[in-house]
Amino acid sequence: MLEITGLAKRYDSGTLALAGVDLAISPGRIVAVIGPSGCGKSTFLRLLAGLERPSAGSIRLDGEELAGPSPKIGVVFQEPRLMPWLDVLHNVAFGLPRRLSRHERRALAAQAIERVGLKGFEKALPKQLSGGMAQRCALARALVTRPEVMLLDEPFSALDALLRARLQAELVRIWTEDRPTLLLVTHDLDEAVLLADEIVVLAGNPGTVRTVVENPLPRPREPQRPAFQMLRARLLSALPAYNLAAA
Amino acid sequence: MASLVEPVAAAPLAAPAAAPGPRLRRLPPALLGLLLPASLALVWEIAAAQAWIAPRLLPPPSMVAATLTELWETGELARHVAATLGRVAIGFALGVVVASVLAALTGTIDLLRRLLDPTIQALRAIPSIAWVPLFVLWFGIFETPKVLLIALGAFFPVYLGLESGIRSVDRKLVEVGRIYHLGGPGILLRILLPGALPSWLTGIRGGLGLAWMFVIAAELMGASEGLGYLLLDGQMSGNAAIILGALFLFALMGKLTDAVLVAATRRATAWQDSFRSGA
Ligand SMILES: Nc1ncnc2c1ncn2[C@@H]1O[C@H](COP(=O)(O)OP(=O)(O)OP(=O)(O)O)[C@@H](O)[C@H]1O
Ligand SMILES: [Mg+2]
Repeated sequence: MLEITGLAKRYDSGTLALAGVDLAISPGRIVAVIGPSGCGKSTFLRLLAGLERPSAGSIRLDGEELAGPSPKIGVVFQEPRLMPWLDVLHNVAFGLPRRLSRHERRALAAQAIERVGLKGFEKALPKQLSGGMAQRCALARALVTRPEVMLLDEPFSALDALLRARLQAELVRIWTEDRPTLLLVTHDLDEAVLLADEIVVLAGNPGTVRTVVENPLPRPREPQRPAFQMLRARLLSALPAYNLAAA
Repeated sequence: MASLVEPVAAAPLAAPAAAPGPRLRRLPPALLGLLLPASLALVWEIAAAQAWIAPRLLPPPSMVAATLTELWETGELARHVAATLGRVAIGFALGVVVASVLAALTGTIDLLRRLLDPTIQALRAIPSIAWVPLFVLWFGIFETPKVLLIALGAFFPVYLGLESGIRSVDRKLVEVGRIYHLGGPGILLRILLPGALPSWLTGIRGGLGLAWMFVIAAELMGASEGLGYLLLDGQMSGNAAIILGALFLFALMGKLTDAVLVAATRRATAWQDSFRSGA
């Protein structure tokens, strides 16, 4: 259980990026966070990742207050952020604790690489990978430690539509296998409806939760179905920026 | 490069008519680099044989070679070369180690950087040769000031290379380290140093060049052995062949040690995705 209460962040520059977010996320759910650009989505995720300190409020995971990065939480950024000097295998093994033996680390990394479909590329350097392969490698690096919660900040937004669809399907497949809690920031409404059980709509300036929309559609979801389109339309009307544009 | 060479070699019709350009390119790069010095030596030799130049001022290569051989046979040459190489090795190693430790500290600990970096940058502005009188005053004229001068010469490029390399490592990669709870030492060893490696190695290469430069300065300030001593000896005795021989040995050893360093670094930076990184 991830409990967020009164979470606020004011940057040193004075910008109030987040003003009092309350949210409770049950284990094993996929939650999408959407909202207009600059409304504080990345800030929210960076707070959960322990990369920024909250100005107020608290984040509790399984009843324990989080202060700084936690081994229970994995992160996938918008860019792959691979170490250019390490091959795929060592990049994936990067986050494994050093107390594991070399052999164990290798085996775990190889397994994660297989899960994201990169088998055969263990020895490739990041410069030899395509954008999609690099992002899969980043996904494997987050998966390999088997985190309870995975934070993903627009992980597929830099990829073309076809590749995005494939990686979305892979993400769902991986999620059905070990059921981590997934918290996914996206600006793609279709992605939100396709993947999430629950969609958090943020409003900006300062960032607050505008509404939380449940997604009752059974999996696998098909974007051409009317129910899918209706939910998408509901989200669109809940988004403040798009409302303005439509008016 | 291979793709440029093969078509010419493979086409049987083109071979007899091959222009000088492609034929030159077919030579191994090492031989190609030797072409210019070898031709110069030949012209020089001929010029000396025709008495166009005075051998006393500019002895021909054959005479320089003879002088070197003579020195070699008495064991003198080996002693001088060993003395110079030893000083360069110790001074260079000292400079690299001290500079690397300091740069790793100032590169990672912000407070230390603000504390030390301005001073180090100011000291860098002093031409290192200007330290010679002080070093002699403090340490006498034997080995210590020589080695320290060489170390000082090697210090600055290495320090600057590593420090700027660390500072240009992508902040986003450092965040990945923080996600995985790496502390300061972990981030330094697993992210900052590998990321700074290319710039660090460039600094080390520059440091080696300066170490060779400073060994001459150090040996010219008084030495009983070494290539610098040989230079002085040649000047005193008016023997240009000895001077030229020493210069030749400096060029040879500087080039050789640099080549060893480059070969060693090529593998370490193969991951770089830069223009012509494979060349
Ligand atoms: N390091 C920082 N220092 C100061 N202000 C920041 C910083 N990072 C973000 N901000 C500000 O905080 C607000 C929220 O930014 P954030 O990056 O969280 O938005 P976002 O919802 O992720 O936007 P996008 O959809 O464009 O990625 C913005 O006004 C931004 O200018
Ligand atoms: Mg963002």
